[in-house]
Amino acid sequence: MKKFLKILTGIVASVFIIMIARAMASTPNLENYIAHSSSEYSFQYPSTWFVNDTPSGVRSFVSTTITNYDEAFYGSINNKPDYTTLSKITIVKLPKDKNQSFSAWLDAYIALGKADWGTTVLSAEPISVDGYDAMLHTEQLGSLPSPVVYIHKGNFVYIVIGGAFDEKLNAVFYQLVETFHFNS
Amino acid sequence: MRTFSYHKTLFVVIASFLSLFVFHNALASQYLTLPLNPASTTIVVNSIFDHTAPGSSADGNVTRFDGAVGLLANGDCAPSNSLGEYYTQPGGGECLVYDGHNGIDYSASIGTDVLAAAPGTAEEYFTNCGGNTVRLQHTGEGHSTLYAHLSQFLFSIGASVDRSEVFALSGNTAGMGCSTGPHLHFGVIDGFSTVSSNRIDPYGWSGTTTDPWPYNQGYLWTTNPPSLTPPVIYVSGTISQDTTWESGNVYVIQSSVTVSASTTLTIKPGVVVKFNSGAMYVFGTLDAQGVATNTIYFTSLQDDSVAGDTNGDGSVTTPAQSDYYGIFVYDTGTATINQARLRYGGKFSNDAGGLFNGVLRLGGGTATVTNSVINKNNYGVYQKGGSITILRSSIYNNSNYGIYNVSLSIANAINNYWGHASGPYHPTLNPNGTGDIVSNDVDFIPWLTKNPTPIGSGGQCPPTGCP
Repeated sequence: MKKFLKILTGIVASVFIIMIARAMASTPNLENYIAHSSSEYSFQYPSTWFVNDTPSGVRSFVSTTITNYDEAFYGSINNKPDYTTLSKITIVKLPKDKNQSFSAWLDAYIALGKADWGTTVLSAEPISVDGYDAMLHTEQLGSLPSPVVYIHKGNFVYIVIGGAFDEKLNAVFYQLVETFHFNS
Repeated sequence: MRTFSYHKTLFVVIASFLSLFVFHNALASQYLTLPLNPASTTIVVNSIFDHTAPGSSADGNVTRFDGAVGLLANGDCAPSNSLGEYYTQPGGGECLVYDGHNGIDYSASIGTDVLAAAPGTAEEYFTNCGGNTVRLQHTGEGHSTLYAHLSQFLFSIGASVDRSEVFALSGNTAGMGCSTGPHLHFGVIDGFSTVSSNRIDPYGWSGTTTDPWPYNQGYLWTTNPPSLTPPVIYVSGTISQDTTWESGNVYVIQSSVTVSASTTLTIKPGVVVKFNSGAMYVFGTLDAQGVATNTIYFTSLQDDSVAGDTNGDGSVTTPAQSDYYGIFVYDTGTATINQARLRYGGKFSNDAGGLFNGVLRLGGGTATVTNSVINKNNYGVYQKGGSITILRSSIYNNSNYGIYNVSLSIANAINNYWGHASGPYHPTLNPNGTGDIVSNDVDFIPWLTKNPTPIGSGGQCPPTGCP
């Protein structure tokens, strides 16, 4: 019996060691994800990452940022990080005229980004997010090909913009989109 | 052969016609001031406007306004960030940043004040690469300026923003490959269409070769190097048709300006009027109405504390009372002044109208002054005729009288602050007053015990009195 308990304790300890190792790895695994709920939507993100909802009263199209670094710290030009280690996912909420179709809105939006930033759509695929019509793009955003999901809900389009210099961390983006749902 | 000639001629005609639209090389005015405040932010340009294919994908060439060229063939200064930063010489030289950039990037911590580079009307939008973006439309110039990666917009769509007004806070919004750190992207658009108008370099083109980007409009900053110093417009003579002095400009009155009868001079919020030594004579209408956040100044050309060192003499001269005469209102004249500062005037004159001293002088007509500051003059107001009403204003630190009235009417000056809670000094009506002196026939009771026109960003004058 004692021998059995000793073996069991060893197994449990090994599992813990594996879990800790996974938490420290650059690519989080599913068991390290936790839920975040804002006033409008919920999603899962790695427990070691930072989530910031834009406070009410601040006029910004960005509603949530999810980063593997503390933006408050790197927000100062005095703290210069190695940007190639950083990942950021941005959730944006933009209005859409009720008479405008989702595809027309999307065309106009892409044209707007192309004018100043040369944004190009590398691939486009219709998908569904939480039952709503959505488009999954891969867009060339500056120096990175980045996944972008556009979700059409009523008179708004919610955009989830992924981006990481380490492409493996884009897995976080897809987990976030898969678990994304509106609270109402 | 004949067909060829016809086509050739047609081509030349069409090309000439199109060139009017495509190769728009007319030089614009120098109207831009810095979008960040150098008093609170170190101005560092991280990235320049690339004259070779700005706004498009990398072409292995970064060309600066002065003709300096960085080439991928010379070496990428920072290959890890993929932006395209190239050396000007093989393996070294200057590092020009970055390939395809169509604006100017300034270092700016998140939350840094972003200033309007010129007066304009705001439009806000978002793009995946620019993040929160504001376009200010400068209708009179035919241009727009663009501010990207903002963390916050402080106004709303359609708002009018004045020169150097803080309208947004900088940030790091955008996709990860577009904004790798907090900064302000500042761009200039030749037109008002975000989608189709060309981007231009506010530094123009000073290279010895042909500008690779054929839309040069010249150097657009008001000063070289760029600063917060606004454009200076020199005025004198008679204004005989309705005229508007625009926000953000400095108007220097060389000798004197006369607003003729039946003519209106409108002075917009934020205008700074500097007098060399002369006066403004108002026979028509002077409409000078600032707002609380953007006041109008009437001051001396030697006053460097507002709109900078306009006379360019450094600290050689300093302003003082009686540097210039002031604003004269005559029989047919009307002056409406709100949220303004009138200082360093009141120079003695003895002309056809007789003796005058105040920075605001009435020989007749009507003057209404509200929410303003009249200080550091010889006399504040000198009334010999007409009628004047001054309300919710501060009249203090004038060398002689705050208001001197020798007209047949009573000057209405209730609810003003006179530089001290005890009110203005009048030998019989308020002998204990320690504020500015008032003459007879000035209705000054009640007065305010605190300054209603905060100095600078806010607050009252210290207990010792207003500066």
